[in-house]
Amino acid sequence: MANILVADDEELARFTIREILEGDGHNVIEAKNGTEAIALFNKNPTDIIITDIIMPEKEGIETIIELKRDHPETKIIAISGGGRTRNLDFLDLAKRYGADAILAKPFSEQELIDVVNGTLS
Amino acid sequence: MSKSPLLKTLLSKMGILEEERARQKEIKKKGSQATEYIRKSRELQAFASRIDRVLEQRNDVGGHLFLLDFSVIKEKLGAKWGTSSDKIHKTIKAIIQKHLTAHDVQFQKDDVTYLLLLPSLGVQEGQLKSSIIAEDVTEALIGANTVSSLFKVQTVTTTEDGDLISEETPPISNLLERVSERLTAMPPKPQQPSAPPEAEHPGAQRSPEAEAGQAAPKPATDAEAALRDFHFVFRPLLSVKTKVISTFLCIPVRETQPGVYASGYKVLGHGPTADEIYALDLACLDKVSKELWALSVAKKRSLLALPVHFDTLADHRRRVEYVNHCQDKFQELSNRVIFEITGLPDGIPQPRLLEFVSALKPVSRAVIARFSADHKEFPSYRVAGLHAVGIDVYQHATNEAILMKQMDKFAQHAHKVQLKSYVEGVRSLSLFTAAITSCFDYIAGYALSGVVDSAEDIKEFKLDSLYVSMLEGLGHLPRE
Repeated sequence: MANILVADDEELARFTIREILEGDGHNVIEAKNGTEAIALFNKNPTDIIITDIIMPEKEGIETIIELKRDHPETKIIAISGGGRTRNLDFLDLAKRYGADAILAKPFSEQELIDVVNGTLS
Repeated sequence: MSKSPLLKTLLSKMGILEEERARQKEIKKKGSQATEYIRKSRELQAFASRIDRVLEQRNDVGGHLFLLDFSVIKEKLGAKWGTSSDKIHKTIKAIIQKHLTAHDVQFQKDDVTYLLLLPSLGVQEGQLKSSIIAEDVTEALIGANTVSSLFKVQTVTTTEDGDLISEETPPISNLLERVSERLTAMPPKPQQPSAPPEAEHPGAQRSPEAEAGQAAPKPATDAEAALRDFHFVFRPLLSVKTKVISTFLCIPVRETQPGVYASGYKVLGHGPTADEIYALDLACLDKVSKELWALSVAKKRSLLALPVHFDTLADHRRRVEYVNHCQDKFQELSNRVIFEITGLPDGIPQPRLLEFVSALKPVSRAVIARFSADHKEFPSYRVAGLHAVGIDVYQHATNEAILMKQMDKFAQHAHKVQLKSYVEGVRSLSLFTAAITSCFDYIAGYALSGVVDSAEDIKEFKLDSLYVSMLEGLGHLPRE
């Protein structure tokens, strides 16, 4: 069982991820954007952070860079949706800037569980 | 006495129109050169009609033209003049353009002669300015320090009874002395009029009469006052599809308080008049034309975008005049110009927009239009011939989450009718990534790049460049 922070500005996306991961036995906390995620993580560090790329106030790449700068050991999974072709660049960038795994939306329940467990191990 | 016939006579006396007719006969025989003839003929007509317009607007214009003759330089350069003719004339036009104000007119008379109409200046001031321009051209082409013997400047005018007078211009040092004496002898002005935007040679821009407040040009006085203390910057615009920064948007900027800047039409303050808006549009046009010629000479391939306000286009007289200015200033470089129509009222009828686009298209590469973020009635605008529709989100006070949704909807509505979309004023990385995923075709703003004083060449854009400053000095380098 792991503690997981999910940062995504879409309510429905957060809810879905929470349902899947809690169903797999993990604890999940939520943030609406990068700024909120970093503040939450600084208070209560988690085992993994799952962050969307497109978010208001502070987007995913900035969030990854900042988290990796201050907490190099943090495990990060970057996710992103919308036009897949256009987002590929951002997910690739997320990986290069420190994300341990990337996942393009839409993803299946099993894909998410596999990526989370793979990152944990 | 109306000065217009005087200048028309002058043009005729100089043989320009006759030369053109003779050329017409000769070229008509040669089908392959017909297109070139038509182009040249149009240029001449544009020049003549521009003179008419200037004379209609200003009753203080003297009946004189200035001729810059570079035949000595041609001799000196020999065969080079012929083989590099295009480049040489581009350089000459760029240098002349750099010195001209919005109301000035230039025309290439033949391979070695250029005509200038400088309506704001008296004879001596005009001679001085023409000589300075000729000197700059000579320095650029020959690279010599003492160049006065390598060009000729003539003042051509007609008498009341139609006789032609051509006068060799005195040396610059003499002219400077005379102009300086005249200015010193003038009575102090009751109120200091503002300098025209980007005056290149203070003291040589306005006639003594205008300086003294007599025969002040209309309606420029109020408008010019509104344009005090501002300058222009260029904002890079990213083409997302090609991942290149290929266009630079011209933006007027004014420091309103120390460290506080107003941009766009806000430089005119609250509730500007249509005259002030028009004056700003003309100043912007002037700046862009200078930049355009400089880019062309430097062989830089980027495009320039400039705003033109609804108020300027809505008035028929102003619209025609504005478009004519564009023809005069941009000439063959107009395919590197993009107009951004701003200040459009929501719900503007499609035929009205079509009128504007049709007027601007012949003197540009594309016409785009800025709308409010919640605008969605685009189907009819595609028919109007717009290349793209866009928004400026810089001043939006709404929070980013709401703004991102508005941006997304705006782009969707545009794309539904196959219109390209652009967003300006993207101030944060989160808005930038949102703009990319909303599929905006063009993006500009501080998140992408700061503004620059001069437009640069086309350059490739890499996503990494947005985050470089965050990585600097942190030892956290991207993984290869």
